[in-house]
Amino acid sequence: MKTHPSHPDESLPEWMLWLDDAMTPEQKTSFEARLQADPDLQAEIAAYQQISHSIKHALPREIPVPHPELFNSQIQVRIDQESQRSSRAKSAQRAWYQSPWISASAVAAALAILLLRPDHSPNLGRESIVTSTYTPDPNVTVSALYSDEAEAVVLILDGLSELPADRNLVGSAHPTRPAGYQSGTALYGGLR
Amino acid sequence: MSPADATATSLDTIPDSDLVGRCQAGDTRAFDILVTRYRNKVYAMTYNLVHNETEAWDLSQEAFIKAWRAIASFKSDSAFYTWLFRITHNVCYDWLRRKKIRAEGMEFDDSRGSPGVAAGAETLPRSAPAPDTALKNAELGHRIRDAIQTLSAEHQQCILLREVEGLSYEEIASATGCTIGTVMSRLFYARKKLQEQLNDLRP
Repeated sequence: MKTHPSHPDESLPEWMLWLDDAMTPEQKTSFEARLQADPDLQAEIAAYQQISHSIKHALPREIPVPHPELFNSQIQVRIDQESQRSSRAKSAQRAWYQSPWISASAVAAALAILLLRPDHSPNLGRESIVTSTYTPDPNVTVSALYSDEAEAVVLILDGLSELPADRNLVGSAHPTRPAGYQSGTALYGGLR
Repeated sequence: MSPADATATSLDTIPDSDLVGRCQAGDTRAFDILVTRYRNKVYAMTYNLVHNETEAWDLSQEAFIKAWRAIASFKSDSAFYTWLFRITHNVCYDWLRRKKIRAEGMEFDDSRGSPGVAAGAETLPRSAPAPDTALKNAELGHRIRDAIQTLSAEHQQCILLREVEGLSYEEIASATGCTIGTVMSRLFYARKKLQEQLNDLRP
């Protein structure tokens, strides 16, 4: 293994470069000529060679893995699991718009964005008015009212799939459902 | 030679670069061959650093799994094993940092050592050494490991990659993500410290 760093560290002793076979041929020839005539340098190199030899013996380069078949098979299992998770995540990303919950939320969000705008209509509220309504799903109908209690325009979507009672909805403006609303009615609001 | 043996032999001779290419195409069988090819080296590397068979086993697996996750980004501008050692280094370094092994004063767990691997053995044990030789080897092994453990994780890694793995300065730099100058500096410091501690080993 030849290693000839173009800018060897000046602080690194030459004997280390020589031991590591990291000298150019010219450097090597010159160093070996000096080494022949320098017993102290020879002793220093021999001392480190002893340490190097001991390290190699004390710390094997290869140690047989205990239970090698299990070692490999566990890695394969984890790789397969990760591949499956990755595939599922991709499928979920592709099908997000097919989820009924996402569809319901999308309907509400579309209504909130498209159907309301700030105004001063006295019959719906002090600052908002519903100009027209549209739902992508013809089974869903929309009605609107101004709630004095909430001080907001409330959109009522009828015909959505029923949500589980324990489902924690993000964005529902009113913590309690007004009396008279049937299960399956979605309540959104909070726009002023 | 049976067809199965012939297949195994042919798989064993496939160059790393070809196997890496297959892995990048999603071939887990090719990766399994790379695991088999390097598991003993990776395990030795982790074991030499963490000195615990169970931890070394887990960390070695972790290194291979990280390698699989990252193999799509591997470019053949370095050898696969150098790249793998770099990942192993990072896995071990993170582990050492988390555990603060030296700060907690953990001792080398010799009872969990690799069976039959004597300190004076060659890379793999050939046969059981004579009792007196084994004792000397064990004592020497303890001293070497203790001395190396006094070094920082970075210095340990450099000295192990150079003295045990026989990597060049460039390969160590690539495996540890630092410059050649830093590698040389770390090697110099590590050797100096080892010489101070193992001075009585002089011939």
